[in-house]
Amino acid sequence: MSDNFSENGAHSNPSNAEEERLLNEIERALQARNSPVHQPSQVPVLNELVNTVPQVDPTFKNVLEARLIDALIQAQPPHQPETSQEIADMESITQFKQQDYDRPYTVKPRSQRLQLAFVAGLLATLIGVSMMLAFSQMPGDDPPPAAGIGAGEQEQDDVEIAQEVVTATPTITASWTFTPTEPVNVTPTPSATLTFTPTQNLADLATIPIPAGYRVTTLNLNDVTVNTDIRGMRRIIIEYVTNDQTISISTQAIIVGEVEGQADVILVAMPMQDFENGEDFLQNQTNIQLTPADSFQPTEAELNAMLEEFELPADWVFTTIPVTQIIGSRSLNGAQAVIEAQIGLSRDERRSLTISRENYFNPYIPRTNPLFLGDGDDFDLYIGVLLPQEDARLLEVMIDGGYQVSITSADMDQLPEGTVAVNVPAPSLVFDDVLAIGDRVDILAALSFVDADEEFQELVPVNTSDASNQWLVPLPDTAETTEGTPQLVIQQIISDAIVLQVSDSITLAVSAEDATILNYLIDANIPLALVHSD
Amino acid sequence: MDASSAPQPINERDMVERAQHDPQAFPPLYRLYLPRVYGYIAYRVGNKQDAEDLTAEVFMKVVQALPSFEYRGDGAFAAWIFRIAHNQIAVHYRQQQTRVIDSSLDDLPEIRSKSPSPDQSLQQKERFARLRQIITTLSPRRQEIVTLRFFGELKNKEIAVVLGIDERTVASHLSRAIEDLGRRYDYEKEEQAL
Repeated sequence: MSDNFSENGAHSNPSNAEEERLLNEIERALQARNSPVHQPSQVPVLNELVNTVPQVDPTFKNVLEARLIDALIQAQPPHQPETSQEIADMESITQFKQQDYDRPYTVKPRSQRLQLAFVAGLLATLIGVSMMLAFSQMPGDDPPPAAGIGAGEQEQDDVEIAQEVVTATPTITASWTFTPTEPVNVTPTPSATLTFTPTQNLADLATIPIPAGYRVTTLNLNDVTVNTDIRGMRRIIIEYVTNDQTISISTQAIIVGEVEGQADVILVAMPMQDFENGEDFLQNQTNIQLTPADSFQPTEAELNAMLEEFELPADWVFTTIPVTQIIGSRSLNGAQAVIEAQIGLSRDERRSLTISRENYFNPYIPRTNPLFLGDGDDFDLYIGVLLPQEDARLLEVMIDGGYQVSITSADMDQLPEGTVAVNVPAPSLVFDDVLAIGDRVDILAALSFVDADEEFQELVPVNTSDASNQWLVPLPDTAETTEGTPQLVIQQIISDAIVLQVSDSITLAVSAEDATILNYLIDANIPLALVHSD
Repeated sequence: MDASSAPQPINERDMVERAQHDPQAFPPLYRLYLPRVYGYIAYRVGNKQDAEDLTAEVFMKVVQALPSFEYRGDGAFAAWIFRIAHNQIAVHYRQQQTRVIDSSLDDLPEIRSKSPSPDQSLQQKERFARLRQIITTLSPRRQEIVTLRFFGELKNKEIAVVLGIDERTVASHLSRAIEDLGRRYDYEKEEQAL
């Protein structure tokens, strides 16, 4: 410590002029750090101080940013109606809820034990709400009548249950956790964050936030096979009959999930205004069609109107491309489209075309809702892009020649250098612990291997009756073979993959070589396990 | 450049208030403060992993408390966020009292530079280690002030708020700390030259 200066800052022998000079020099050195013309300080240690600044790791920066935004979204208070229209919507919902009590739309006969755990989740905890309601119906109960038909004793039981569950006020924010293997009956709640757990291994992983202005309810589907793959934004067409008229409602809804075990009952979140005729369509729904919202195409007039927003250079064109993979966690608005393809005769020739955000045009993706996850194959997703003609021709060649088009959402556009992103369907995975974005994981695969004769490239012992036998592994589990007994081998296939996104699929950042292996394993339905790297 | 096309100064208060209501408005604020908070913490703890962990904890606390943050004048947000960082480091040191940390160069943070070669990267890490070693010879308070000033990029007034001391005291500590650092730095340079 300095001999003439105490720790409380008092001088015993102040030299204010010297101190002032040094403080000015410090200020100058700090300003010079950000200046394009760097004038070194005459005090060497100041140069060292301003030029030895720690650099934030870009991967850390991106991962932390994503986690923080997630945390902020979770911490948002429930939406309160502000405009007169929103207030009117809320009032109509409140009235409608009262009608629900009289005629709950419990539409599915249930013979199994029925449980619903209503768990106040993180948001509820934050706003001081903590509650848990659980109810059960014993096996063997008679099935209740269909919704809105009759008012028998069994239906009355359901009414009471519904009344219990709907004790939440219209503005409550909470989390619903569904027991994955049990059928559930869900009553509407105006605004909620729904946590859907497709398997116990994925507890707390798959969260679908419901935007303000959306309301959650259940719908009956007719002749539609529902599975968790349909979750996400969908265009739903609901037909119902009233006064001998068939009325059709077309709405963009978020499929939150299926009611487990009841393939024709799904949970959806729909815009509040679509509940205006709620009583009619919930009670009298006759037909519901699910159409991928993404395949909704604008009319020519709508498209032209959207294109007019852009000032296209003379040699630029608008075209559409099909998308095979979506890599994202929140919003595709402003997302990055990355197209990679192998073209030409040489297998080694690999071209990639990145369409910058400015030129990315997505009229086929609903702009109003950011929820969109999954594999493009399931959605028939097309995106519109604006490109120079030269790139458009290249794109055409790519599409004709076998290609992969992925869209990377805006918050995930910076993969660690040298890696690519691969979406792994979560149902084929097991985990050693809850995964979080940024975790490093090793991938284990269980493969059935058989011995092969290297010289003849044939299974051992050689099967001469079937020349088509190959020595390729793995064999499927169900394979019956007279050759050598397959051995189940669990092997670490990929190490140090980085978790980019956790939802109903896991997105991993891996090297291009590992991505090829991983895609093969996924296509072959090989059971995979993710374990945290040491 | 005419006045209309001149870049508008960033109003931090607006940024903070927008982020309080809109999560998507948070990233600009985050990108503004992340390098500063990380730089400050990295010098205080000395290794990359701890610096990243602590930085993540600091920002997590920031987003949790952001909705209730009240903006009370220029520099209030910076002082608030660095106060959180200061407290986190104190907690970290309490937890680490019994742990001996022997960091290799690999464990040190990278140093800001334009495309350094691997050799240059190592040299920069060595510079970081030497500079940090010199800084740790200062009293704890002066270490705080120097790291907040040079790596947290706080003004003296903001440092005063973070540490709960007078602005003038900060200035005095800072100038004395630089004098001490300068002497030691020059001495080590001479030693190396011999």
